[in-house]
Amino acid sequence: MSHYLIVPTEDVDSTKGREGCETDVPRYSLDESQAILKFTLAVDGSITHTQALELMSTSAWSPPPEIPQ
Amino acid sequence: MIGVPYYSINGLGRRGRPVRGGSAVPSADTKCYVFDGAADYIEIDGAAGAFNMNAAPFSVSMWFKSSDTTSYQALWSTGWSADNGTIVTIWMKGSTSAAAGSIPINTPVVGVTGYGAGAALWGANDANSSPHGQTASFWVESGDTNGIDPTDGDWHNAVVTSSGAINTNEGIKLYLDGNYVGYSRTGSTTKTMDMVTIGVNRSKQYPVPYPGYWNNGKIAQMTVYTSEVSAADVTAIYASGNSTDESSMSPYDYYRFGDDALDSGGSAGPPVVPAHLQDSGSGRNNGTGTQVMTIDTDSPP
Repeated sequence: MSHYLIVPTEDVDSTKGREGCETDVPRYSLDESQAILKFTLAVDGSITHTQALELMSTSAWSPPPEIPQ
Repeated sequence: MIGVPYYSINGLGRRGRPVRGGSAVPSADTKCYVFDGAADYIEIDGAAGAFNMNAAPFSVSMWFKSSDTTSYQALWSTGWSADNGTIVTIWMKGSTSAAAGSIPINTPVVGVTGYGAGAALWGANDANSSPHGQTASFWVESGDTNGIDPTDGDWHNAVVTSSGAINTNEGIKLYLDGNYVGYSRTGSTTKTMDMVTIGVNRSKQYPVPYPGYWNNGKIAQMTVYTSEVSAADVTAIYASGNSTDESSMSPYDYYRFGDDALDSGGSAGPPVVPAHLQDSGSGRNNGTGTQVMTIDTDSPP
């Protein structure tokens, strides 16, 4: 089971260097202030997959649905 | 009896698939990649010139599975690196997804959208798109003839074919689970594409993927042809619900999502080694994941 960590964008590179990080190209929030990174194990502040999906569906990470464009 | 499909007493198994336990056609697949719906997708390397929309024919086939009824999800998408108004995306949504444009709420849908430099490559809300259309898109709802719920937790096959010609009736077609279910007339715009992603929409916001279309499901096999495959070809690909070895059809791209010896889910860092997806077709356009991805022993029957 994967674990997810939300970090400020400026911390992406340092977080990618941590043990267990699985993310090479992260997804960013719409304002690009935060990124989500995947880990093999729980780390301080990490959330579950279910929690990550809930967060990704919020307006900070996803715009209202529209046909792809 | 080997190789001859065995059918249940009413003629068909679930969704018309040959019944397992009889002499069902053997599956070509044993594995799939799991897309996490949060940040997984695959970027195809070196796809330059692979697609020239409305100017050269192509077809794409894919086997997919999802139980996420809430989201819009991309299956396959292509675009042009020098023009962020150019995309073609095969997408789906589930039974509890929101409305968008003319697409109704709470209706499972599979659709195809295409823009070339911001101009519609096909699609309009008129008789030239069936069963439903709006600018740049056409789609099939679950209640339409041979429509499906793409998020019902079963494996499904979608094939999109293009005639490769402008201003052509039924110039782009959609097949679902072997059935010809939708089409649209191509417009007068042509456009070359050079980027492909699997599992997320190739966005006009490039290089940032459109955030609402991360796939939350599984993909087991995908092929790209540089021709408009026929209905008979689609029947052969679907094989009554069994994934088949498409090598004999000479695909340009052939992705097997865990069943190729060179496929890899990657490994955690440091340094991170992201997932690798091998192309065993003639194009040799391998894919690279954004992250480590799970390879699951699940596949079409």
